Amino acid sequence: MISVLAGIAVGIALALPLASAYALFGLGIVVIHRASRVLNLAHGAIATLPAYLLYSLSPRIGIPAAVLLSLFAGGLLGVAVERLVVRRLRRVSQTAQTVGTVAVFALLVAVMGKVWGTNLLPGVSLVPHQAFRVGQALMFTEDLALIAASILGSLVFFGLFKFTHFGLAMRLAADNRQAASLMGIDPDRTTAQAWFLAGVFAALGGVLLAGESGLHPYLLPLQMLPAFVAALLGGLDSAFGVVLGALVVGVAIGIVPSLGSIGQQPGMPQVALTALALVVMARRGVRLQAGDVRSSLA
Amino acid sequence: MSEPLLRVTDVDAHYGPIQALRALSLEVHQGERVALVGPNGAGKTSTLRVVSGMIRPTRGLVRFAGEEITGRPAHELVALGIAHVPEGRALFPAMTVEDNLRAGFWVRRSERSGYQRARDRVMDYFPILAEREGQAAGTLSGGEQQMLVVARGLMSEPKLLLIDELSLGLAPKIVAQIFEIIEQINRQGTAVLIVEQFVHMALQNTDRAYALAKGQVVMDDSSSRLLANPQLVAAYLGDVAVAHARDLSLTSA
Amino acid sequence: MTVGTRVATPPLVNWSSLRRYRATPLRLLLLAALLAWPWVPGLPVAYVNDASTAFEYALVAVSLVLLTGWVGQISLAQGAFVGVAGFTTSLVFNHLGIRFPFSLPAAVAASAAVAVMLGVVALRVRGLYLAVATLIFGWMADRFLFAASWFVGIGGSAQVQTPLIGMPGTLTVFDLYDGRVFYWVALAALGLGILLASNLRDSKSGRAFAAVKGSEVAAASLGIDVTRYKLLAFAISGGLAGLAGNLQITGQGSAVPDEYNFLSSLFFLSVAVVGGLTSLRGAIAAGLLFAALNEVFFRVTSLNGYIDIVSAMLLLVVLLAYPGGLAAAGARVQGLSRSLLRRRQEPGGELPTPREAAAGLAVTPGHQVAAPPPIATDRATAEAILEAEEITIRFGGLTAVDSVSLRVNRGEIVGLIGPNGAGKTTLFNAVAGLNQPAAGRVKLYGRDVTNLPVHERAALGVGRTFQLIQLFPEQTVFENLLTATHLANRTGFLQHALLTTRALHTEADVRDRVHEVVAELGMEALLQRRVAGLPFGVLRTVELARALVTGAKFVMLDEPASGLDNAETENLAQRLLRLRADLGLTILLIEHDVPMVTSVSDYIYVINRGRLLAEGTAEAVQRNEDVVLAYLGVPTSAMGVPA
Repeated sequence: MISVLAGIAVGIALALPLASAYALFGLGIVVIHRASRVLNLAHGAIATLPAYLLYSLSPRIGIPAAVLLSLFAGGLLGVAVERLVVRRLRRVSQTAQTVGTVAVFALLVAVMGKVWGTNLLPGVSLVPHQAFRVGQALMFTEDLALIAASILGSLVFFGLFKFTHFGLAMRLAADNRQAASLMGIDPDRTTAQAWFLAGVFAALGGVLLAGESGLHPYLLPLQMLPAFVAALLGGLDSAFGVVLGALVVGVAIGIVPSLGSIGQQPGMPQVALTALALVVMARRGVRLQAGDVRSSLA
Repeated sequence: MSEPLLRVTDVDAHYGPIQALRALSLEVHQGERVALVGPNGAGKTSTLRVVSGMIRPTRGLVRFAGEEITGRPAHELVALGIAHVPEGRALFPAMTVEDNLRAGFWVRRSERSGYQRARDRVMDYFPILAEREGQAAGTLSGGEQQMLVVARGLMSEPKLLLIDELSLGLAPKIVAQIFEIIEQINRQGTAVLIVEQFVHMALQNTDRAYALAKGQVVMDDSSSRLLANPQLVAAYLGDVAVAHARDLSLTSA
Repeated sequence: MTVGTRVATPPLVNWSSLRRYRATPLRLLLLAALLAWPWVPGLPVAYVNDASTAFEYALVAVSLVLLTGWVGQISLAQGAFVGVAGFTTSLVFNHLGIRFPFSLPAAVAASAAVAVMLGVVALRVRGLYLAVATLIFGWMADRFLFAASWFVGIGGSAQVQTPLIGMPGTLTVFDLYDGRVFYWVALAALGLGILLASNLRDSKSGRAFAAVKGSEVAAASLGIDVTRYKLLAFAISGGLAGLAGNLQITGQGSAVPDEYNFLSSLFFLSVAVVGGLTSLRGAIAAGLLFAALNEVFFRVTSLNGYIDIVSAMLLLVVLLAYPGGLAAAGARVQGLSRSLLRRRQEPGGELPTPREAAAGLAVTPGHQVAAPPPIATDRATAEAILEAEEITIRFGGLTAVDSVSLRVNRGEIVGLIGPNGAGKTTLFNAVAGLNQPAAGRVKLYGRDVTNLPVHERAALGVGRTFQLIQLFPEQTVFENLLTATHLANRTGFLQHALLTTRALHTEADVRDRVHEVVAELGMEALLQRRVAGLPFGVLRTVELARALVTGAKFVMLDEPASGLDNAETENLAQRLLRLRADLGLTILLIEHDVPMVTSVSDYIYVINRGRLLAEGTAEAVQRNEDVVLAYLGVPTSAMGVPA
């Protein structure tokens, strides 16, 4: 019994770094959804490209400068996606915008694959590498860096939103876009700012995660997918919710394999999460209702 | 005759294929209280939206405080002195009363000391808001919400305050209360353009009024004269009602 | 019987719907080229194989055209459906020894079943949430299904034997290992898929699909069971993708899970989008394009590795700048070549302008309108079409409608009026089936329908229009009206797919029905115009016509005069009176334009603050002091009294 509990505890501890990464990505996903009502399916790729940039730049300009540049690049990438793709497709439909982000994902993955190849590359570690024991398993300083970064990042995030004019403007625009413009807030500008912020957070998560699991043009972005599940669980518009959701998702991935022989089948955590995500979406889902009637011609 | 504060000339407005305004013209002078009345769908809300920049007219001109503002987006016009309190109370429902007021002050956010003064002023007008400071705006009662959005509109110290359907869903007593406060605000120099479905309220509390129907101005007069004009009833309810009104006047004479 | 002519017995085969099978020189040439491709002298086998690959791509693209293009259900999991079929094929081969083509049913059934599971999800989530749901689903399939050794096979790679059909030495031997034979099989499969999709598209099923995409609310009001058609679409789409999957693994001999991951789903979506997403021809063209690009980028060493970038760029460019894709480009070329060849004008000349058409719709003044039927002295005993009893509707803590009862008798025009926010629309929606009342009953034609879904109420004989017009903008007026024949058309999906004689006959009949209503309303000039360009007043008439085409004798109109100018409003009033007289309709309408309502209604209900304030004849209501008070805020006695 104790060993099962201990196993679970270790599972949770091991899951925390991943949950932290999900939290960082998830915060960006939520900020974008609040600003643009779009799920940015390119988010994983926006997180990965800066990690590759860090890899290429750090030997030349040193790690600290390269990190700053990479984070900035992540922000710029976010703004570019919003302005060039998402905004253009606004008049078509929400779905078209989401497909647009999917297209961006495909493009970025293809570019990264071409430029850096499809072999696994070692990520740049931002902390001196050291291992230590947790129960039967090993954890590394990179893991701690991820956890620390996500806690710090969340605090900065909340602080920004609560205490600055910039944050107030973004909150107002997200709560009621039209009313915000009547207050003098340019909603297009706050949208761009939101995507920039999301891009920076994504880059941070990507850089740190790459330091752990290495760089791969397709696998690394795909690791972000559970962050969407986390956002969905948290309600898509709540920063606090997504952090909680990230914990749930991370823990699920960590614990499911220790739940007996069924849990050890490959892909079981994914099945569990998919079922959870679908149930959550369905419960919040829409039955044919009067409120659905919007003009087909507007 | 000085130039009016607001002049709308020959404006057309469309929502997709629907034409909401047809060659509409009106004026508001400094310090005036003007009402827009008319049945639902007549174009009253669309008129306010054109003035505040929420929608762009497809034809025509809008001038405010000597500047041409036709087609400029809403967020630029707030800085010029237009505050719009939209229909349906357009709150920031998830945010506190305090935050909603801060939102109203946004255009003046660089004036650090100004915020406290502006806030105190609106709290004088609407003392009940002080009690609800930390509450989420969405949880306030209808009347309180309406007071909040008017207060929010005042935070920017506008030259022209646009108010759309403030009586919607409110008890007549509260509506009367709010109208009184608007009178006070007006005496301090703010011009007011009010859209109101309840004709009597609107005409009793304004200096001039325009009656709209199907996107056009059909009557334009001082409020007291409009109040006595039987044609106004016809615009709402048809001729039988007018005849009925005349019958009554004969019997009560 | 109605106004309007009728042709003698319909022809045995409706040639208009078979027009697309006409053998134009261009089509014959293309078909010949396709068939002869493998026999081109000196052609390397690789090019033949590329063409087979192109057909596989095209087939999956067709499945997406149907699901995403026509029904509007976005799928980022198509690769998973292909994979399910592929691995099922290997499963039945390795465990049961079944080979192509006998492995087809199992493979197609498996992928269709998985697709339907996703379809069930699609019933609850829409738009971008559906996109994410399919994404997550595909991810789960990739990580779980395609990683499970019982499904995929040991070592993570599935093996299948490419079959030899027939015995060597007998008459016919199909060696699918031979690139040419496989080519023709793939071509045949694609042809089958195209035929199926094409037959569906122009049938009742295809129109139902388009309606689900255009406006689910409108579709339901026309009697279309949205749930059923969504699931059907997923099943067919999954099946078509499965066909491609089965073919693919049969031709390759083996498959690995990586072939069916998220990137492959993206790839298939790219093919469909570049093709134009709604066009079958575009899907074929795009399949050929991508297969060709694949080959080119493979052969030319300097371009190696750029294929993924190029296909992603193609997708983006089409999305952002050329949403019609290859299909639109093709149509433009066709248009250009027509004008270049200076083809003869279609008989009938130019289409009338919308303004001309609108003028034709005006009800001629002086037209004798039959006097309204006298109101039964006791309305409560007359035959009721609609009875709403003590309806109460709550939203959260708010009571929007409080214990309201109303009644519409046969042959009446009843108005529902009240100030803004009074609850009229909420009540109206409850009668229509879009709201669930917390208390009270709704009875239509004497039957309790309180718990009946919208499409079933429509089947009883109720039509409606919408305040915010719910027509299908990209279709013509005729096509919009044809969708409304859904309930009158008793044929099923299989009959449409197989284009049976019965289906064709029924199609001819329902088209006649549309023409009858069109004649009644004088809309002939409008039929071929796209809805998107028409003036607003005309659109209101089209939506009214659509409700009438369903054959409903009870029509509910939601603010029909909203957005109309004075002349159009007057026109509408006259038209309603005439339709009631000529077609024996019963009408319920919500309106803000009180003068208009009073001019057409036999009886009026006034709602204020969720309660029934007054009811009576138009005149009685107008004299009612409470009503005036509700609208103007002041009793009449205080208004407009000349000194």
